[in-house]
Amino acid sequence: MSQLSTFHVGKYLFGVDVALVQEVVRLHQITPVPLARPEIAGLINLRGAVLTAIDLRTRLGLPPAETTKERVNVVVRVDDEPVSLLVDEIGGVLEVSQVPFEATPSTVDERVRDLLIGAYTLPDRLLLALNAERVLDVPVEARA
Amino acid sequence: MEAIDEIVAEFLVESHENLDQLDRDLLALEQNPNSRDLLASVFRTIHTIKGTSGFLAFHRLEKLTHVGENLLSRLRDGRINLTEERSTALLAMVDAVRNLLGDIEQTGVEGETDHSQLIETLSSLLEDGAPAAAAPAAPAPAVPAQATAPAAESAAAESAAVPPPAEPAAESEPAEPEAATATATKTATATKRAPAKRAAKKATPPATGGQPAGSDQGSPPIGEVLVEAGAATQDAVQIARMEQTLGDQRPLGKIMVDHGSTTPAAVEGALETQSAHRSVVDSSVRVDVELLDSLMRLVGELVLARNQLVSRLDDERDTAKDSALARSAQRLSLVTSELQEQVMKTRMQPVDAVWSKMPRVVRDLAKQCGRKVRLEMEGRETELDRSVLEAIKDPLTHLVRNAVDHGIETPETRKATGKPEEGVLRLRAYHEAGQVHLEIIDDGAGIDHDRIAAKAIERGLITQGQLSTMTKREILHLIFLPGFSLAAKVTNVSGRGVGMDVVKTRIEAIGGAVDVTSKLGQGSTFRLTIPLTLAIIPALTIGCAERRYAVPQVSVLELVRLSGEHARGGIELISGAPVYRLRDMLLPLVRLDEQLGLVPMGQADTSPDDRPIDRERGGFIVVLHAEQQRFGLVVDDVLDTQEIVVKPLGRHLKGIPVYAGATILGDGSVVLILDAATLARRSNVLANNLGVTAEDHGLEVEPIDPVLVVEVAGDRRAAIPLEMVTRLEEIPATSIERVGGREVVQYRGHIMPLVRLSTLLGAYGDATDPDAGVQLVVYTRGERSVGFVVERILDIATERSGTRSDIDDHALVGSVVVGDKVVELVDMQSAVLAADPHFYSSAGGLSTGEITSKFEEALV
Repeated sequence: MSQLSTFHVGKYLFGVDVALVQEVVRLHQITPVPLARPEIAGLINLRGAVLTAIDLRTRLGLPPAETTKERVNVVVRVDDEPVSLLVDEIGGVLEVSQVPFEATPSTVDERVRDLLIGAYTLPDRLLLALNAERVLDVPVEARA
Repeated sequence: MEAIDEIVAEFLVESHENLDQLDRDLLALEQNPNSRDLLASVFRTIHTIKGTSGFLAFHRLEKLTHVGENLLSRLRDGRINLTEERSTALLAMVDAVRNLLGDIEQTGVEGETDHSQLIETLSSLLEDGAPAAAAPAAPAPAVPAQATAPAAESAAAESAAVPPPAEPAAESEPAEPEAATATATKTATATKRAPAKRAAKKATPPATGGQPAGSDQGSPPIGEVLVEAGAATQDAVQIARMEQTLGDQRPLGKIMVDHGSTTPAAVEGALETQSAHRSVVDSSVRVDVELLDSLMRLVGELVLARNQLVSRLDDERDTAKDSALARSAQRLSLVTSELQEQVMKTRMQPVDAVWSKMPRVVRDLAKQCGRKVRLEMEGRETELDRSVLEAIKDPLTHLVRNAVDHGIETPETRKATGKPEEGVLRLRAYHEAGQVHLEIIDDGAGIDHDRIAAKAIERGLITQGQLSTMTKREILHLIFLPGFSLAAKVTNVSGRGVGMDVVKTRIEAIGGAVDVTSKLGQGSTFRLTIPLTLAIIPALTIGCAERRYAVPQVSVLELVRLSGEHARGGIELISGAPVYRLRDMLLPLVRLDEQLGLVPMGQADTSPDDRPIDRERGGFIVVLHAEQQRFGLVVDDVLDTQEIVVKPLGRHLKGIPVYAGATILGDGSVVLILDAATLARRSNVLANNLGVTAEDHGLEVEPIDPVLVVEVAGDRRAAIPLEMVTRLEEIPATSIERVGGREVVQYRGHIMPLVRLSTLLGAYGDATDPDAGVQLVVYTRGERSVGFVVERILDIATERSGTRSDIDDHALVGSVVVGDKVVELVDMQSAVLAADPHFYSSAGGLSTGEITSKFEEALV
């Protein structure tokens, strides 16, 4: 995992293996799914395919965004099913092979820590590497 | 190596297709043994397989088909007739070839199966009169001799050596006698035979080398066509060819006509055959199904892009009036619609794709069971989506087998009852109301209601009491219950009691329905109603809480608008659950917003003053039919009906059963598709009851198993199935004693626990007058009894008006209207258990589950 696709959620900078990212799209339409878990933001239409969008904020236990700014869909493909991760803003692709890597610092919120592989210490900030599989592993059963 | 594999693969695909055709042709031949076209077609098929297998060094296959070919060539030449024996042997050969091909497909080489017996049988059938070594024990009467076969010709055939038929290139058969002289094949006219013979005699032995390549690739050379049609001899063709090679500029057909070795008419016919063959080859291509699916997806996207473009242009119409762009968009729009339609069509296949297997199934089974069956098919061109076709294949086969095995009687029985010996099995297919209807009709014995009933009772599926009130239709439908079988003994055909229920489940799984009608002695009809396609369905778009949802149109019965007085007058609460009186029948209601968790459950229903539907808001009731039950779905808005493409939901949402999938509407928005059956179940509307079908709802009064109607408290009435009433007693209130928290009474030497229905149902009656008697309904089973305390015994009801509603509450399983009163159906199981928790665990017999279903059946 030498290249990470990065994006912002709340005050954090996250990254996932660039190989897992299928594409990044901005879509204004999202269909909420009643009875689904709160992490499920809804369904999006990606060129004729119906994709599930996961709200990364809720998934990470972060408060809802204050702004009504349109969020970005990072479409990741794990187990051959594309799923969208809703993030606040997209960053760039970063080469991290030369960046010092650390296990997730204990200062990071526990709920977030479970979903992380570790952190890259960039000169100015931390880049948290997400475990995409675990992020997508939202419990399946409906909310009661 | 790869190139070879490819050739083999192609050979396999082609051969499998050919074999299917062969099956059909052989069966058609049995009906019409003189058909030259069919014989030629069969011969050609086997010939092709043989030629290619020789080329690819599949020697077993080659050997087998070679013998078959010999037999076929003699049949084709009219030297022997097609008897049942021969066609059985040929069908056996087709099966053997299929198996060999299967082996090749799986392992790449031929299997080790021994075909010598079959080869021997085939060889022994080459001559008339020679009894087949391995012929079936009871040979069927031979088909009447061909009237058209002139005696002279048979004589000629007998005197001639047995020549192999014309062989194609790359053929080497050292063991075969070289055909030095050609047999005079039957020509179009008898007069032509002599010249043909002359030509043959003059002929040099046929070259074993390759034939001159036909001028057209993909269509057989004319000489071959003529030979196959029996209009010329191989030798005559060779002569003509030779003349061509020697510089004769005339077409082959003309040379042959001039030689007198064939007729002008035959040449013309051959040319037609040739061009027909070419047009088939040229006009169809094999396409990977995945490619079609992906095409379909792309077209879907194109439609969406088109829609966006058009709506954008509409917005800018004022500025871009009549612009070239607008015109192009218009054109694009038209082409897209057309493209969409055509691509959809590519997925459609005629029902014949499944039916074509049936003649063989019927034939084999009829032979096996000693039946005579004629299969008739009507509407074979009726088209269905390939996914649907795939899904109905097994159920359909099962029904056909069932009709032959159980429906149609033996020839002797049929004769005795004055029917023709040959039974008729008819398959019908037609489109109606956006659905495909398939019927399997036999003129057999029909289904005996009494036998079904007796069997169902014997197997413990129903009780005698239930039976007495069941309609004939309901009894007939018992055959779809799991574990039901009428067969006296288990055969490998049927009788294992699996099947009909599977048929029903499978058909219902794809949104279809099964129905059966039968007349004793006259036959049965099974009707399947299935959707045209699974991928694209008509759906009703509805609005609820500012969102749109789609409901498959198949589930929708009708729409009821709720507005003004009508809305308020129509909705009532029974046991706290809303119902709607639709044409004097109780329609249980389900609120979609509640079901989707958008408003708290039951909040609007608590107070009788606060109607379930806001007066101002109005709304609609979508009357749905799911799992043989009717209920109303209350929504805010009904938008429109459209064809939608069903898309599966991702793994995160699969666990929510309320959604059957999602779709993308014309404006590009994603809309969830609701699953009517789940909605019904979620709202406890559905009970697992038997036999309530849509048809029942039209009746004003329905018979039910007798129930005892009692007054529980105040005006509340409850019903207890008469089956569960052993005795009615009146005891003095003072005789009631207490054991722990329970009320008991000494009854016939036992201590009988009591339960007050009023307490159980949450009604609060007046305190019982200690001097007055207490009305008891006693239910005894084995050693144990329980007593139900009721306020008054009212009546025994045997019919209900309107439909049964399944609204349940604590200790209730629903309600019915008896007379003009709503009567609550007591959940007897919980009532009994409330009195005696160990009631069912002690005695043998019915389990608690059976009690429940028994009860529910009783009150249908």
